[in-house]
Amino acid sequence: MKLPLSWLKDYVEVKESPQKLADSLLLTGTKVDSIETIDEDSVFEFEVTPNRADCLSAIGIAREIAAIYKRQLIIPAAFSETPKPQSQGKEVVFQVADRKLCPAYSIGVIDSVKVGPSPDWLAHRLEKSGIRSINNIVDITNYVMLETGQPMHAFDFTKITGRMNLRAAGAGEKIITLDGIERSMPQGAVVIEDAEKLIDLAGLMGGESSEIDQNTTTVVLHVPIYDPLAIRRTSQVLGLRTEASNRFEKQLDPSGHRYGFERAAFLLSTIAQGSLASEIKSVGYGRLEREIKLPASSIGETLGIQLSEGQIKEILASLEFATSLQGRQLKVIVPSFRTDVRKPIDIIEEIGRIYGYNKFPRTLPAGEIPSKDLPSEDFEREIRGFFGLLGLQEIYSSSLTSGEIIESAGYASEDCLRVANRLVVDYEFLRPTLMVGLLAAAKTNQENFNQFSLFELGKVFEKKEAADKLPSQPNKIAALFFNSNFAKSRGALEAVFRKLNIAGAKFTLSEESTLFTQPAANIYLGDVFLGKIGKIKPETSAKFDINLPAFGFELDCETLRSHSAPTYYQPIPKFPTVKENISLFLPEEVAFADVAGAVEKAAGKNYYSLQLLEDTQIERRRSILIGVEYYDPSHTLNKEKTGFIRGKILKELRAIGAQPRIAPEP
Amino acid sequence: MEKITEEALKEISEVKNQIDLERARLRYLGRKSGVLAKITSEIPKLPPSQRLGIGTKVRKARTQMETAFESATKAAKKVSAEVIDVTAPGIKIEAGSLHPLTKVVEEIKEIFHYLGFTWVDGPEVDTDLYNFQKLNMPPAHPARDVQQTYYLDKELLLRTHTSSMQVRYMETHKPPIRVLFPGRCYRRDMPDSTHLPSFYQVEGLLVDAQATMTDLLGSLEFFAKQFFGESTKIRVYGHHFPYTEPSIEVEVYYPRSGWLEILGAGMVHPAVLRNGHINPNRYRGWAFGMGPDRLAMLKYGIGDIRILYNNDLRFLNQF
Repeated sequence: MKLPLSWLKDYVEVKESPQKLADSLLLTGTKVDSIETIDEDSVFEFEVTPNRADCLSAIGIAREIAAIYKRQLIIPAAFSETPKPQSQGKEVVFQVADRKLCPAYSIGVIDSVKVGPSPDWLAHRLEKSGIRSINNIVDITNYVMLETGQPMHAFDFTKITGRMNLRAAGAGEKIITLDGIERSMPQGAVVIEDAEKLIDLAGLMGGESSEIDQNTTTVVLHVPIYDPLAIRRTSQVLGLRTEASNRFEKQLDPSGHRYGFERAAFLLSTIAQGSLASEIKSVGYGRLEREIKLPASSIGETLGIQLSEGQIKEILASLEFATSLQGRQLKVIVPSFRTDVRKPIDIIEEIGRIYGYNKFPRTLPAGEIPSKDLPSEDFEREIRGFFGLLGLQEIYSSSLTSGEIIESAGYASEDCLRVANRLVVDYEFLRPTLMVGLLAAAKTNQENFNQFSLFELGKVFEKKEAADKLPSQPNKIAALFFNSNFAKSRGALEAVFRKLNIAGAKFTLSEESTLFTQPAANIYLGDVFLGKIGKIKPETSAKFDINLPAFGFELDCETLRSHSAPTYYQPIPKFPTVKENISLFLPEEVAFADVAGAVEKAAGKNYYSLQLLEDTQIERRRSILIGVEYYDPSHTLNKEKTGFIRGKILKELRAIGAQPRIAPEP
Repeated sequence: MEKITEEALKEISEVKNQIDLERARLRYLGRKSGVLAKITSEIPKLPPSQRLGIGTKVRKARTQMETAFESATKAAKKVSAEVIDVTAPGIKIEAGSLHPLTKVVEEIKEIFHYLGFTWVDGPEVDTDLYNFQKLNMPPAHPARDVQQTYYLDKELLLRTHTSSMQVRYMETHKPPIRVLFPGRCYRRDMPDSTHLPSFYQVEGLLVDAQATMTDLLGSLEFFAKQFFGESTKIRVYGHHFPYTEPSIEVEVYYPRSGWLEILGAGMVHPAVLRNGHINPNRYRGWAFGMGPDRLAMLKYGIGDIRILYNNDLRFLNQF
């Protein structure tokens, strides 16, 4: 909402510079987005929070200024008594079919108006406030709306046939609004009709059929309060927001419509020579104030500062709240325009913000510290750290992505969670795998880097329901190795397992999956599936424009965490280990896992470690070189025992079909 | 004596590096255990006839050896200096690193950990109930406007703030509560330099028998000074959130740009405590929410939020 400073000065004295005023308003909760200078006047653009309907007006802002600086607020007088119709009686019959839609209003007829351009002061004030000047009649209704916060509408009396009736629209009913657009209304929009036609899309925009024009001499002035929800829904469905709807959808002062009518009628008579031609009919001219009681001690207990009774009364009085202390209870009378103040805590907020939060002492909480273990997020910090140590770069990609990207990664978008109200196609589906972000990042970087590895930790989303009735959304950690190979990616993973103290991870050959082609493996911790590792399918790489081989893996964080054992020191062998390198020919059907199993089985309690040192092809046969270490925890192995263990290992290796390339022991 | 000298000179000529050269020098010329020193110390034990001339021979051998060692040392030094150009770059070691957002979130966690806070993760796909209704925002509440929401269906939505965790956590935990909720949130915004449909937030919640606005302000000032530096100034102003009352926003003073808003906060609304099965007559609470994206942008001087999520290594390698 925009308002010129000169206008605010009608109601309250302002001695401060515009910037100083803006700061003071900000600190009490009314943000000034910008100050613009037009014709030596400062035009403030205010950002008013949705609870403060009263501040969507010049008087409301002026009242805040008066409270901040402890100054007098002067508002234009309304009719001191209800005036009698000045000219011959013209009656309007206004019916409300559903009281809920329009619980309160004032209405009356004003005739002898002379339609013409507004006087300069009026046109300028409106234009500085961002509202186009149209003619004096329409301008006055807009002016009073900006002044008081109460929107209103003027109809041309002669264009209305018979009685006026306010009701809910049926779906698809049509009306041409003042902007010349034919609008098809949703069920439940508030409309006003006469005996023949729709004349108003109530709360949003008037109808063209009853528009004020140059020939208008008699107007029906209608100052209503509508059901905020009905206005808000219609506004959202039609995608139409107006100055009026922005106010009607909030809690307006229930008794403000009468003042609004009287103020507009006064301006119509002084500016457009109009005169009241009917009674002013006011319905639901309501309660003026409300009473809230609160324990006086709750103010200090909540704010943490101790204010005297006098300070509290003074602050509340500056906001036009009347206060009295009854024993330990504070009784506060809240004026009707403060529709946001309903509970004791609302009173405490008013005291806090006007007193000024920056004057509060700043203390630290003194209570007991909840003593609980650090939760799983710390585990996430730990694995992030490990991946960083391994030379991988962490990325953050969007978890909301496009159907096209998901399809490119080989997933069917119809299997993925999707927002029902997308704004742009780039943000429509929830990622089923972290790999979509990693692949996109690989594409971004391949121009500038020949080789890199990336990782991300975050949630992926599945349609299936989890235990808490929400869709399953587990945390995963995934890595992508660009221009790399299987062994390198698996090596990184093994390093992570070592860091997390996870023993016994099993890699089993995997069939081709959504993301990976051969070489690919399923990873198990015990019997629990942890994730997959493998080569990104060439067709996926092609769709992401990735032009060098990429490998990756994706693991379930919770599975990883639950298998991570606390580190416990394993004694370093006191006696020397025996190190032995063995060359083996391996037939196709024998895997390294079989070799490892055979060595462990053969060495038994003497087993210390096993490494794969070389893996090559010799004359089309697979030849590997393994480094075996064995020991005895209680003494140095003698020659005999060493020979015995070696023999057992070779025997087991031969048993699985491996062919040791050394001469058998004599 | 001649034999010893010959051996020593041969050894010196064969040794290539400085360390071995020094070892050889100690073996022959060492003051205590060197070969020559030992011979010298044995001289008095010899019969007088054999002593004659020995001293001269030892001195001669020492001079020969010293000359040889000297020139060999020079040569060895020269060799190493020729091979290594210290001005040339070393062999590149690719170090990984953590994303600036992770760094910022970790820093926030660490600062509040000093104040006794822990943290938990929570669902990003949540219900309207926890994201809005239990936070005092019934359907069609105008305050929902500022949080443009992605819905999956009538009930499920992408959480618009990590405040969605407040009631979830209170339902299962008794006061005293001090907890952070870091995580991803979503808003139905057009992407631009300051908005993305998906971004990060860290929510903080304290509930205790005594909890005051002054403690909230003190804790937030503590955070700002830790995060931005000891001389950091904050200012606070009234604001409106349906789930806190009183509500405030906090700005820090940034010499280059003036006052910048960094977070929203307030005293937990009594109705929200009640929704979390906590009696508002016995307990009070305060809560705050901040955006690590924005904090990272301020801290590292990043002008466009999209850079944080573009994953360009030329950006990421700087952290």
